[in-house]
Amino acid sequence: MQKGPGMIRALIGRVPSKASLGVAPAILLWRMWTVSVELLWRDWLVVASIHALLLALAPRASALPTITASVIAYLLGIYIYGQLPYALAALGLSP
Amino acid sequence: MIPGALLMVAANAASILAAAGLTKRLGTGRRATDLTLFLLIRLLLIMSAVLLGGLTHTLTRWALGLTGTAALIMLLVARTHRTLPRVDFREVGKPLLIAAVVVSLRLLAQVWLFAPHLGDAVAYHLPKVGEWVRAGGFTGEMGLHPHVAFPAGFELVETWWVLFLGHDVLIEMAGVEFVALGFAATGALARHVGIGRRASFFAGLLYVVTPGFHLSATSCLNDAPAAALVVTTMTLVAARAPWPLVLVAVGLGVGIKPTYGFALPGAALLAFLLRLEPAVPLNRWAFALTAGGLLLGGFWYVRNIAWYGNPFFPLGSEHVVNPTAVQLGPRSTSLVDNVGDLVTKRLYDHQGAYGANVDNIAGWGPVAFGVGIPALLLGAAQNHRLRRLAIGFSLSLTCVLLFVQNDPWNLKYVFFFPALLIVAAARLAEMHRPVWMLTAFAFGFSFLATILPYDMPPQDLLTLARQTWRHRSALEISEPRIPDVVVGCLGGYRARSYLLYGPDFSRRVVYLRPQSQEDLEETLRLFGIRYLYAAPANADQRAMLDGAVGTLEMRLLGKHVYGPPRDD
Repeated sequence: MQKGPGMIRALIGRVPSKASLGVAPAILLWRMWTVSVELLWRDWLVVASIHALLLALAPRASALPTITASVIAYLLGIYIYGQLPYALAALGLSP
Repeated sequence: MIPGALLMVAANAASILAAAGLTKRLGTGRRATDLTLFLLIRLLLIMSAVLLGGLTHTLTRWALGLTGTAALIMLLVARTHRTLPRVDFREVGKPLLIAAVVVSLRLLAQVWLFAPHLGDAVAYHLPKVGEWVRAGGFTGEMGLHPHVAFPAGFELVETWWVLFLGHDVLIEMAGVEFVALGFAATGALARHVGIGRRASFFAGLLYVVTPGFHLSATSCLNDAPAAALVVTTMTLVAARAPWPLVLVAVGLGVGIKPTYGFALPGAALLAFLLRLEPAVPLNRWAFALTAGGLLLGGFWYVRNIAWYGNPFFPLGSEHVVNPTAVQLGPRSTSLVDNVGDLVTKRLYDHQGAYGANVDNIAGWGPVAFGVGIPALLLGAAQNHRLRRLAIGFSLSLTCVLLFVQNDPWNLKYVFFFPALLIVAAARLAEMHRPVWMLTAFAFGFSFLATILPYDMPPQDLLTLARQTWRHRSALEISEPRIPDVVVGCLGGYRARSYLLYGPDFSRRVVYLRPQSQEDLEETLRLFGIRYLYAAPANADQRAMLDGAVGTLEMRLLGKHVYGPPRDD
């Protein structure tokens, strides 16, 4: 916990990991409930929730940097998959 | 042209030296924050100069240029040039330096080749600039769009960049000023959370190529400037700069766009969270700048009270027909819809190409989305300064989304938020080499994808590039060249009237507000108008136009321009 008096300061120091354990599964369930199965693989909220859960459950795991880099690569893939055709079209390069 | 260019160089040099001198007196002692402060003070000075020139009707290249030259001589005599901020590029490293040079050169090419073209800019932001430059001061005529009375702080900077040359070829430099501010402010925020100089420089660069922010800056829209000022405000608050200096940023921001003001609760919360950190001592010189900043911010609202009895005119004025309605006040349904849209759809940028208005997308780019989100999740748990920034930025985001209606373009009001995600991304990139490589890849994608906005297809850019710089105008992409020095403009929110002034402001634009067909015909005859630009806003205007065109035997020459029966 960070130094400093007051409840607000203490809360701010603790919220992320505690919140992750509560919020991430809720978001995950919400997305699984509302998004069709074939689209779940490219739902950033699902990816971020799983990532947040891993961070909260194993904050000192040695594989965490690799997992985080993989999550980033995956999200970048999702992003470029959808934006690339528009970007190419704007540059006059679409087939 | 050459005297104008020399006066422009002198006036800019004077404002740079004066800003450097003031920053030396008022600085926070932190290099990155002081660079942000320096750029902010320079903007304050040039905006104040144009405001003063506009009010006193001395808005001419000679008045501003000679005053600037005199100030430059005095500043050089006082050896103010020794106070210029120094950036040690050795700390940045060669690859990032090359990337920065490439991004800068690309920006300059965009400034040179792009001509004002986007609807909002040419319909209601820039017609004021045209009137001011032609009249040498502020006038009551601002154009036909219902939004012409909105605050025009950014137009002051645009006027600065067209006044000396009497030409708009450099008008996008106004946006570049704020790109530089966004770069410095994001870099300073990165330093605040403990990132090294190299990665902080990278953070600044990443923010510059954020698609919506970048393309807004080169499209003469004021959303990027407003965003840069939100980030600047956060930077000054995070540095615990004295309140008078923070109020300079607030004044400039509110004077550019009211949406800036919606983000202020986040800055206030950040100030509260950081209240126990050591503050920069107050310097009484700062109060002089505060006065200037608040004048620049308040001027437009006071003017609107004086002219219309309503500081937010036309918002809240029932009798005004406003087809492009804007929300006034908070609305919980807007917040729910806006957050839902952002989170579940638009954050992906999958519903359209990049552009300044980010139609149906967020325009935050791959770095904010792909790297920033996981990096913020990790960083907020590890770094208390980043966590507090996240809380402040999130409140700002929430407040803006509470105050703006749900439409396809509203996320251009929150271009400041990617700065937070980018700071988190840069922090993680600094810690993990693979993340640095992925971020560099995303940077490359953003750079390439922001060469052109979707609203300027390659063939339009080619048309502009083929024109000589003196004649470069987006009007001639779809309309014929208008040979006369006076042109009529009929319409409303769709009338792209700025284009009618010509790039050198040589054409007088007569704004037509006819009550009847006969009234329209009489005005055209009275002013000797042979060429008429018409984009009727309603059925009445369409009927008047059709009648007058028939009576006067005018013919349609392009999409909107009518001319005499035969060119003579």
